[in-house]
Amino acid sequence: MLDMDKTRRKLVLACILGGLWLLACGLSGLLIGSTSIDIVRALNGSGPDAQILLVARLPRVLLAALTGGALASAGVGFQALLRNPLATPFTLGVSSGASLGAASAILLGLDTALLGSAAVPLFALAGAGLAVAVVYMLARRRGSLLSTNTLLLAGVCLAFFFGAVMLFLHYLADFGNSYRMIRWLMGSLDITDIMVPLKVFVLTIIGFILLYSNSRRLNVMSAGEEVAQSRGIDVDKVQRRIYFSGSLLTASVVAATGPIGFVGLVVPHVVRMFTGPDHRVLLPASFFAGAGFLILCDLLARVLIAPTEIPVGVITAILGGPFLVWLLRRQVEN
Amino acid sequence: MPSIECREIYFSYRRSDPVLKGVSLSASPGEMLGIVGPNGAGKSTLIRIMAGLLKPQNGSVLLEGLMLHGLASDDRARRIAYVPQDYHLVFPFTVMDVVLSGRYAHGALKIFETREDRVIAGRVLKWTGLENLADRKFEDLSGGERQRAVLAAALAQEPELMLLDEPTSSLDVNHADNLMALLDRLCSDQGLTVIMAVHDLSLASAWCNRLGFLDQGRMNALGEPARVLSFDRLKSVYGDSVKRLDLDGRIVIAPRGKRNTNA
Repeated sequence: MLDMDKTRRKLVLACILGGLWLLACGLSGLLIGSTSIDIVRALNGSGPDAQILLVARLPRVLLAALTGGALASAGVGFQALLRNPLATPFTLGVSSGASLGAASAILLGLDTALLGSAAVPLFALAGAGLAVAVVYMLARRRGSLLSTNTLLLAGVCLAFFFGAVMLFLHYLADFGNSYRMIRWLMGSLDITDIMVPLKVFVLTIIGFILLYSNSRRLNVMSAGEEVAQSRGIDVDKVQRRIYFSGSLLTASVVAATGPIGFVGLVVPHVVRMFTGPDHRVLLPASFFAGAGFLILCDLLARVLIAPTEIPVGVITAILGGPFLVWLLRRQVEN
Repeated sequence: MPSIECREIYFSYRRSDPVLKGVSLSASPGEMLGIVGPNGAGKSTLIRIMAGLLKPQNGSVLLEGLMLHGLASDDRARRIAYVPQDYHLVFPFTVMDVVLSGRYAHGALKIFETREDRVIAGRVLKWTGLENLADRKFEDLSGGERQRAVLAAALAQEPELMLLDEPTSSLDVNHADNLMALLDRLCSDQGLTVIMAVHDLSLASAWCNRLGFLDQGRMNALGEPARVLSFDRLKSVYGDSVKRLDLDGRIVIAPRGKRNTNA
């Protein structure tokens, strides 16, 4: 009885602390930048302060929060699905498909130089969808069960294949387009359209709810497919749900931002050290932690060598990699 | 009505030779049935078929008269529990988490366990002597404690039939004996049916009501341990490498050993 309260208590505590963390990071992201703003003036009028806050920073902070949250929770899902703590949202080829889609749109000239167009994210989303479908078809066994080993192998192989096609597209492209492709691959949250995070929000929330509805099953499945089956889980169905919901979470944000690495690997590990492995607590906690983490990374990307912006993917990798190594070492030593 | 009944089971992995060639058996409520036989005889495969994890190519498994492979997975898990040979967790769950995973089939649509689930988990932890280790990480347990935790999770399913695959393989003599005593108590007190694949013939004959002797995919014999483990059968299957001793009414199967060879 005490334990039932424990899981729920942990969930409530994780949501409260996660919410506070996200609020603190969000406010920092809104208020701090290369140009200082007066918050009172920004909220009252339509002067430059309001422009900076509402047009330059708000959509960006919202997109950063959704992207960080989606990638971190998708990372939790893929690590559980593949029973591999090194799995990331990009392990199964979703981002390579998205990258290929985006690069194709850029090469076809569907993205005008600076104005931006909806074609690139749409192509990226389609590319991600194609990758998800191909990997799924390859991993299906003749019977019905999805083989996680084949899934992993198919995802990694497809990522290599799409990578090679990407190189070919680079070879065909002129310098301008090639540069645009590379910049897309570095990941960016540089948007000014408030509609972008709103669209991403719809897809992200569907993916998250679907993933969370399987959170208890993820716990049972961490003992392996056979044990999960003997506990009464329809393993095939649950694996498919996790694969598609994780892919939806990943694709919805990668299409808008490009691939931003390390969030989906580092955040689940760090959060697991505090919450334990129960996916009912871990999933929402990772969402909040990832959301705040990416807002902070984007803040650093904006201010470190202002007015030049560093691609946010570079910051996440530089911060995330060593931090994870340090935490793991500390855990081993303890 | 028997708790479980296998009729003429045939099974082969992919294109290889059949592992099981027309195996039939049945077990009644409260009975402890041991499946013995040499390596590769098909013991684990038979257990996994009865657990519904593998589907036989031919033959049928009936669970209280119902076709096992027609049952929904959660319905099956409320009737049958399976204890695998190896239990490996990727993430650091506690003993209580492992035991509660056994309650899944009793509320498959629920995200959280109910109060009843907790009460039952507490009860099976007590039965298995793990009540003080509930919050311990599963990976920090000793081999014997792990085996008991996995057994507790299976008991939390409140099954009528418990299938175990080599449950004593990683246990010392004392722990193996204690585990068998626990299963025996559950059979006699609660009417649980236990079927287990066992390598240790002495242990199997000491605790099981009946033994099924599998050899090369066929049920060579099924019945009283003393009759199934006959001198002739042991010699024909294991050769001269084992010796049967009868001590105070118990059967002990001993390796021939170096001294005997020289003698």
